Parts: sequence; C-alpha cells; structure tokens
Amino acid sequence: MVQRSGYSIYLSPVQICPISSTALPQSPSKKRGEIRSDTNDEGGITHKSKGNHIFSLLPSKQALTSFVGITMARKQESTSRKSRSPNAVYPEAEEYGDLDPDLKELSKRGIRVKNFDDEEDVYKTLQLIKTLPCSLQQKRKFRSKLTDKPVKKVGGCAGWAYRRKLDWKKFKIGFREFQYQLELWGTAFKKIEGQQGAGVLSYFVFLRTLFKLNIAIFVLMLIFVTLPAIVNFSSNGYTVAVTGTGIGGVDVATAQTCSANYDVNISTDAASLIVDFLQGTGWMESTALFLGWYDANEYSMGTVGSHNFNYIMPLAIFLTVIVIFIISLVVMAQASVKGFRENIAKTGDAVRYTYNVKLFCSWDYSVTEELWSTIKQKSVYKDIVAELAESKFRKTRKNMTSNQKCGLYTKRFLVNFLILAMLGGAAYLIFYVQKFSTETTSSDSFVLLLIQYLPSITLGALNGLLPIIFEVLIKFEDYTTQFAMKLHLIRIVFLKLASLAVLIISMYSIITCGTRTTTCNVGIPDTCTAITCWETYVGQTFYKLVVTDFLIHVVAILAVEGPRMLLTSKCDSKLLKKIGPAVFDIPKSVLELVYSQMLCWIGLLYCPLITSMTVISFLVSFFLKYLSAMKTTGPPEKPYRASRTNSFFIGILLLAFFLSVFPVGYTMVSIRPSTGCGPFRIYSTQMSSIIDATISNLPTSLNNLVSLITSASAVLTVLVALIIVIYFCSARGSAYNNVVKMLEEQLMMESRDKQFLMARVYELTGEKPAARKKETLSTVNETKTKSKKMEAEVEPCPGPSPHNLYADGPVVSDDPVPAMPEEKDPFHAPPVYRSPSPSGSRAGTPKILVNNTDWDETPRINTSTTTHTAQPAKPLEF
Amino acid sequence: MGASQSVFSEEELQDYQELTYFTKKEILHVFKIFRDLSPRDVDRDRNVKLNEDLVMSLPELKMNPFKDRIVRVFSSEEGCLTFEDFLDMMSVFSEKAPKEIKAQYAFKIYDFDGDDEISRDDLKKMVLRLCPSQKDTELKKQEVDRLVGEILKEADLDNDDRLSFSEFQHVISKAPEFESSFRIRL
Repeated sequence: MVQRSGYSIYLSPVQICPISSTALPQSPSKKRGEIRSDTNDEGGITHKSKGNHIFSLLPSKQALTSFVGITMARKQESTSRKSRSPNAVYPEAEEYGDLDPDLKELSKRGIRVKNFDDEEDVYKTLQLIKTLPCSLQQKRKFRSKLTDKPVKKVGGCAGWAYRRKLDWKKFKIGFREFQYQLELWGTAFKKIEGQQGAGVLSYFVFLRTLFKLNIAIFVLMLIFVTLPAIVNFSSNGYTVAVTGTGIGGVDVATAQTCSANYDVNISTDAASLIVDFLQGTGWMESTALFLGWYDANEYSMGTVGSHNFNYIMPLAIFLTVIVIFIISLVVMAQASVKGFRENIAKTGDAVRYTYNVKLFCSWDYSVTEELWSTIKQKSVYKDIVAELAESKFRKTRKNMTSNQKCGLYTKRFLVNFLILAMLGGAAYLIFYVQKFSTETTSSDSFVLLLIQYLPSITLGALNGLLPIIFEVLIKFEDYTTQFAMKLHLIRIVFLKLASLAVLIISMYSIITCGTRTTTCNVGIPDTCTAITCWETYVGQTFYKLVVTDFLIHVVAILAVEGPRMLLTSKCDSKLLKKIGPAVFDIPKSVLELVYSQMLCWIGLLYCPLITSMTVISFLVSFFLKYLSAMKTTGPPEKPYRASRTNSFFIGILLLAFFLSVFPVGYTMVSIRPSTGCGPFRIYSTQMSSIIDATISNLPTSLNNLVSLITSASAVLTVLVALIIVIYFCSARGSAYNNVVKMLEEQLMMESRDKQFLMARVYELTGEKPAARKKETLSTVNETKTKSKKMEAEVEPCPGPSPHNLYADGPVVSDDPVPAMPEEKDPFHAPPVYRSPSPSGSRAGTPKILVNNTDWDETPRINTSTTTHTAQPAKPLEF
Repeated sequence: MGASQSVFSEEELQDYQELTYFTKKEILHVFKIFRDLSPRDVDRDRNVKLNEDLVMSLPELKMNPFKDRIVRVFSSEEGCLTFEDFLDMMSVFSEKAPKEIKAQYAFKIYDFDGDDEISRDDLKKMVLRLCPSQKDTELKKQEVDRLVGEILKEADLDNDDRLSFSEFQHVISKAPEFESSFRIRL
C-alpha cells in the first residue's frame, strides 16, 4: 500500500546519473554476466538506456547487479537483526563508517560482518559466504577480511558442541569422499545421462537403490537364516525354547511322524538334474533354497561360562522377515520423502506453470550427445506445439454437441468394458492355469517342465501382450495426451499387480483346499491336490516366476531390441526407417523392476535365498539396460520430468510393498504350517506361535510388560497419537501453502507499488523512462485485450500502469542527465531516494522536496484514486 | 590424477573445498577435466586463462543451446575462464549446490541482454534456441508469440510484461524438475 501521509521524497540531481554496474571500483575484475558490448567503453555508456537509471538504483536491482549478488542472508537475519539499523534498506552511513567497502557490501545484504561474539559467529558468516553468487576470488577476499581479526574462542559447553559440529562436518566430507570413490556405477551413470538425459537416468538410480536394498536383504537372510542352519548343525531337537511352556498348538509328535514321511524323489540322470534345477524340484527341493528344508530346531552356538547360547531357528526366520520388511519400508520412505515434500508444497500450482516449466526446465544441462540434443529439440518443439494445441483441444471439447458427447462417452464406455473383460479373462486364465499345472503330472520330464512353467509363462505373456492392446485401445478414447499417458500407466500397474494377486489367491485356494484333516497335511485324494509341503510349493512357484521374469528381460533386450536397432540403422528400407529403433520406455522398465521386487518380497519367506536371485537378476538387468540405453534404444521423445517420475516410481513401489506384505503377513498369522517340513512344523495352528512360545519362556516381569505393550489400550493410544501427528503435519502443510499464496500476492502488490512509485519519480524528475519499456508496455495492452483471463486474474487491484502515466503525463524534459564521475561508487553514494521515513530530512543534500500535497496536484490524480479505491478489494493481512 | 595431485597443495584444496560445494577429490576431478581442455597450457601455468571457445567445446557444454551465456556468466574476465571460474561453474552445476544459487545463475544465463530482467525478447530468444528452426520442426512466429504470451501470463505476477528475478525464483520454486535439469554430473 502506498502510504501518502507525512513523508517526503528527496531527490538529489547530482546523483541522478547512469550508474553502470561495471563501474565498481571494488570489483577486482569486470562484473560477471555482463554482455560483451559494454565492456570496452569504460563505465560510460552501457547497454542500459539512460532513462532507466533510477530503476537500476532500486535496492533490489542493485543487489542483483552488485558483485555480491542477492544472498540468502535472510537465513541469518535472526542473528544479525540487532546489528542492523531500523531502516534496513539504507542503513545509516555511520554504521559502516569504519568498514572495508567489501564488507560494507556484505553487510548491506544482511550478512553480519562485525561484532562477532566468538569464532562460531565467524564460522556461520563464512558458511553464508559460500552461498553468495560471486566469483571465487571475491569470496576469498571476503573470507580473508573476515578472518584477519582474532576472535574469542568458544569456551565451555557451547565450545564443545561447536567443535563436535566441526568434527561432524569434517566426518561428513570425509564420508562423501569415501562414497565418491565407492559410488556404484558412477561413470556408467554419467554416460547414460549424457546420452539419454535425466529421465532415463532416474530409472537407473531407482535400479541402483533397489539393487542395494536387495543386497542388504540377501546378506541379512544369509547371516541370520541360512548360515546358522548350514554351519551349526548340532541340533538340540524340539527344545522348550522352541515349543514354549504351556502354549497351545504345539504338536511335536505329529511333526516327527510327518517329517519321516516327507521325502523327496531325487533322480540323478543329467536331464532331470537340469529340469529339477529349473523347476526347483528333486534335488533342489532339499536345499536351503526353500523353507521346507529348515527345521524347527534350536541350535547350540557354544557355551560361555555356565551359559548356553542357543539359536532358535523359527524365531530367527520370523524376525528376519519382519526386519527385512521394516528396512525396505524405511528405505522407501527415505527415498520418497523428498518427492513427497515437493508434492505437498506444490501440487496445486504444478498446472499453473506448465509453460514456464516447459521452457525453463526442459533442457538437461548434463547431456553430451548430439543425437540426444536433436531429439530433445524435437521433443521440446512437439511438447510446446502439443501444449498449444491442447489448450485449443480443450476449447473444442467444451463446444461439443450433445450428440458428439454421447458418441464419445459410448466409445469410452465400450473401451473400458473391453479392458475390464480382458482383465477378467486374464484373471481366470491365471487361476485356471495355476490349478492345472499343480494337478497335472506327466512322465515325460520336458512336458512336465512345460506344465510346471505354464503359470509363469502365462503371467509373463499376459504382462507383455495386454499393455500393447491397451495402448491401441486408448487411442479410441480421445483423451488429452497427458491424461492418456497416466491412464495407460494406471491400467498397466493394475494388470501387473492384479495378475500376481490372482496367482496368490489361486495358490491360497489350493493350499487351504478341504479341511486338511489328514494327518500330515497331504491333502484329500480326489477333491484336492496332494501337497506335502506347501511352504516349499509356494517357494517353487515364486522361484519359477523369478526365473521366467529374468529370462523374459534378457530375451527382450537381446533378441528384440538389438536386432531392431541393427535393422533400422543398417538397412535402407523406408518402412524400417519409419519404425526406427526401440525407444527407452521408462515407465515400462520401472514397472518391470517393481514386479521383480514384489516377487522377491512375497517369495522371501518361502524361499529365503530368492533374494540372491533377485540380486543377480538386478545386476544382469543393469548391464542389459545399460547396453540397451547406450546401444539399442534411442532416448524417449516423450518428456519425462525426472523428479516427478521419481516420486511416482516410489509410490508404485510402496503400493507393491503393501500388496506383498499382506499375503506374507496373512500366512504368518492364520495358515496352518505344514507338519512334515519347515521351521514351523511343530506349530499346528500358525507360524506366529513361535512368538507366543518365546514370550512364554520369558521371565514373568518381562512377560507382563510384553502383554501390556501389545494390549488393545496401548495399541490404541499409539494409533491415536499417530493420527494426531498426521493431522498436525497436514495442518502445517496447508498453513504453509496459505503463506505461499499470501507472499505471492504480496510480491504482486510490491511490484505494483514499485511501478507506481517509479512512474511518479519519472514524472517528477521529468525524465524519460526507457524507450524499450514503452514499446513493451504497449504490448502489454495488446495482451490484455487478447486474454480475458488475465484481466480477470490481475485486474481486481490494478496498480497504475506506468504506460498510462508516460502517455499523457507531464512534459518530459530532455535535459541531459549529469554524468556520474567514473570513480564514484554507487554504494558510497548517498541514496537517491529514500523510502518513507519521517525523520529522514538531512541537511546538506541538494534535494527536491515533494510533499504530500504535491502528490495530489499532479495531473495524474485519477491513477492514484484508482489505486486507493481498488486495492482494498484484496486486503493483505499478515 | 597423479599429475594433478601435485598441482595443488593441501591448503589450496582445503581453500577450494571451503569455497565450493565440492570435496577435495571432486576438485581434483574438476581440475582434470579442466586440464584435458588444453593439457599443454594448463601444465605450463595452472592459472592460465582458457579461451571461451575452448571451454565451450567441453562435451557437457557443446550441445547446450545456452553455452555461450553460461561461459559468459561465469567468466571473470572478458572471453576467458580461469580454473577458478571453471571450478565455480562446476560447483554451481553440482548436485550439492542449493536451488537458490542455481536459480540465480539460471536467471543470469537466460537474461540475454543483461538488464536483470527476462523480457519478452529474452524469452523469444530462449524459445528459438531451444527449438532452432529445422525443416520439420519450425515454430511459427505466431506460435512463438503465443508461447511467450502464455509464459508471461503464468509467471508475470506484477503484469509489467517481463519476469523479474523474484518472479523467476517463484516459478523455479514451483518446478521441482529444475534441480535435476540444471545440473552437470561430474
């Protein structure tokens, strides 16, 4: 708001002169970023038109052009406020009287440069200097001037904390150096980014994250589950540690009988060895790969003194799986935090700045390849044209007749119906095939292999083929390109997750078929399939799925993409040229990864070493994808916003995670374990009996504590607390968003005020605003008439447009503006005009006094009235 | 890297580490890249001023439509870059540099005429550099005008037909992509 009472504007004609930012005596060399033409004439005429000099004297402009640049000194404001004068824009000259000019400049930007209490203050200032956008020499100069005076050392407790902070910082840098050396695939990443851009790179970063996670999972499984079982095989049998004291659902006798009954046919001829390897049967079945091999034993780890250390196998497996899930969740949460933070603050506005984002963020600065850059230029072009066309498309959509609308909606309905029908068919197929392959046996080992692999192959084929059909179908639906892309992706995600879910359901129905009353859980003849060890059966299914998944990846890259690249680049056929090489499909590749990861999560309980296969599979797929990115595919033409896709990937991964945890958790707490195999064989109700057994073995006090913690009231309290925290966070988020909106409005108003004041100043000094400005401002009016929306948005509180002021304002005098002496430093110069301050009258300065009444006498009285009548429409309250 | 290790003393490296967003090893890596531009000159004098054109031939910059602007913005002396300028440039483009600094330099880069505001002409220049006219991808003049109009409509809050730094910063704060695109991997 313009305050109009009781202040004056001082204008000193001597200082009104073109101040070029190049004429800074302090600046050791030419200011950066200046265009070449103005450097040869020493500080005289610059590229800036003469008339704009007042504009360039505005503090914001000076900050931008000074050798320091705008800083983020606001950060330090809390500490520096006391050292600043009440009028922060032009602090009293005395305050800087004894200061070095460089430091004075820093001080003006709100950085504390003197009166340091101790070395920590100096340190903080030095940290701020790092964030200045000025040259290294300049920063070094600042630093040496700041550190030349001795300061008090920080003592006592604070000193200790300060030194620990420095140590921690040092350690962090050391750690970064260490990481830098160890960085996995760093050079490969650089090459990929150079050739394919940041979008494709984000896929590889995602792959690396998952790869590391899987290595961690694998190591945990190996150390806590597999190695103890293999190495320390002196079993103590079903001890009290395993059976618990007085808990229900422990049946040692049946377990012993059934374990004896469960035997695996191991054939030794070469063919069946290989077939068994592929399907996880025969000799493979009795290895540490599958859960059925592990026993419900307690292993003796050795004795220290009089105390025996024993390792309880079922408990170890149970806890390891839970820990793995928690680790996975933490890793994902960590990865998603950044994207989530961005999303919370910005979702509402992402659409508002489509064009700006397209222009300012479309070029990847890290790209090195010519091919990429030409494709990118094309892609930017297409993107822009499409966006321009799309806004037209939306308009035509609005003007559609009801007949056309009806036709479109029928078409969409039909397509959706078709897609649903296909999904339903696929689900039935998966269900049926899994049942078929479990029930059917064959004497021919090859046919048996085929039958065994039928579910995996069906799943792979459906996941491969249906998306292609979807892609064709979506074209009939006539959506905008952006929406079509999203919808297609959602459909594929649904297909992938649903197909796996159906497979799990079909397995569940097979496992729980009948009431399973037979002694050793073998199934009822005629009605149900006989499965001796269902844990291993599930493990085998996932083992086969992982193998198939892996083979499909390899084949797709080596047998499809490679030849396509060769054909399209080497042959001159027109058709082939038109098809072109395959394009790196980011969403598809990411979904493949998520699918593999999901298989790993679900399978790891039943097939503890499945993670080793996932690690290998990810490693191989990294090299294959690298090959694919570098050799066989072109960069994607569709623009992928790296950051947004990243949070999208993590979102899908989280969804997949919860979908995988659910079946695993369910089997742990409610399916009866096999009696003849596996580490839970002695528990006749559920796997989680091991927890009951362990608790029952604890001393009474601990036992009570556990029951207290797990009681309904305790859980409820925690739940309520969590909900409150979530509510608090979301409230804070929305409050921040409001602040952003308010600041946005304030920014708008401030700029209006500035324009208004500038116009006044020009008017009063009789000086011409820049010619360039006039020309562009006339275009403003053109745009205004063109776009109604703009008017609606901006007009409610119209600041006086400077253009109007110039158009019929006071007569512009052509008096030559006195030139400023070259050596004059703009920062030494007293301010040309002061911001409203009643005590601001200072003797000795030549000035033009414009008091309150002068304002009203000026010809443009109507503009100021508009300002005052219109502005209250949007009051700003802080 | 063996050769460059001896070039800097431990203090110098410490100094650079304090002033940039790099660790010592990364600084040596940057020096290696710098040296590779012109091994003979750099070996003779570490503080040699390399010609802009030479720096622009860096693979990361070669393809960049704004390479001349980037080099100009970071050169402390007319048409030449010293190692420190180069280091500063890589530091700004590094992953660790905060968004605010990147935004400031981006603003300088896109401000072609150096009037500390991104005007309609600057925007037009930018568009034409991003999609240079080729035979199948040529933006019509009308399209460019419309695009620039849309951009200003979105971002020009104070309606003065140009983007000031604060308006630009505001846009950047709403575009999470900016950080990942305004980056050069070491």
